[in-house]
Amino acid sequence: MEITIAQLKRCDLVTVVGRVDGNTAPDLERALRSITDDGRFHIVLDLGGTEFLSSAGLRALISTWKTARRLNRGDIVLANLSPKVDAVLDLAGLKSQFRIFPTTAEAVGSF
Amino acid sequence: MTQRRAEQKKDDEEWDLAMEGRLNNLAPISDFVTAAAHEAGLDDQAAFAVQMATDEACCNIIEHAYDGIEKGKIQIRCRLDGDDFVVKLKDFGRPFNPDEVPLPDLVGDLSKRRIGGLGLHFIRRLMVEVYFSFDETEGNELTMIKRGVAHKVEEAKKQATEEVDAAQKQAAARIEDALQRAARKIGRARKRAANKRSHSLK
Repeated sequence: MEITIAQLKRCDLVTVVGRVDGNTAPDLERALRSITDDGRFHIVLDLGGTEFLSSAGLRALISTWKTARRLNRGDIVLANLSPKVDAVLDLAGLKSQFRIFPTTAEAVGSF
Repeated sequence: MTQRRAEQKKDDEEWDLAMEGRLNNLAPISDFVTAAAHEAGLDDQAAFAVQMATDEACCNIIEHAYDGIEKGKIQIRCRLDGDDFVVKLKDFGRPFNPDEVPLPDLVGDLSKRRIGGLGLHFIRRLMVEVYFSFDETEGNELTMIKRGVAHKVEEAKKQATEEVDAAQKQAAARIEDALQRAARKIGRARKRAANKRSHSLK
């Protein structure tokens, strides 16, 4: 799994490529926490290159969602989902909770 | 895979793998079951479901049965049984009672949801049948079944046969058309030759 973080004007764009499973999810959680620990709470997660997302990866997403939204200070939104990742979010009942955008540009523009 | 001390065996309709129970083996285990599922005739969606369920189950074994430390192996056996693709996972760690794992909250406000239980939920939703058995001497065994494999293979065969039939019909039609055009061309050429002969006789 490869994670790249780009600090944009109004949000941080995090791109995740590869497998997010029990082995790699802690790296994703650490990367997301490094952003919120710096006091930045507007995050776009581009999952276009994420080929696999397990419940361990979802826990990292949920934990960041809770941190970012606390005191209405921000949000983590998802973009560019593959049909498989979309199905996983649906199975976990998360599609109604996360804001999801078809493209990264739309997700960045939402902040 | 050899660096990871994997033992792999493959028969015509059975695929075996044994790996040390640690988190960095989740990816090769996923690759193994996905390849087995594809070889057995499952489509991409069904193979992904098998991969997802196996990954969640192995992650549970490593984190809970083996307490997150490398304590033992996971044996993975995939088998094609008629219409069923059967995955059996065996470990020698601490047993647990799946009925005691609380069901995840999938509909409430996420800020109030308790995180946990999603892995087992995925396994039960993605596979048609799921059985656990726990034995202190024989080890723990999880059996997961994905159904409809033979049906899919038959469908694929039927589709392939239809495609071959259609291609043969198209080819036959093209040959027939070419023959008719050639016959017309020959007819016209004969006519022209006959006309030429009658002109020269005059």
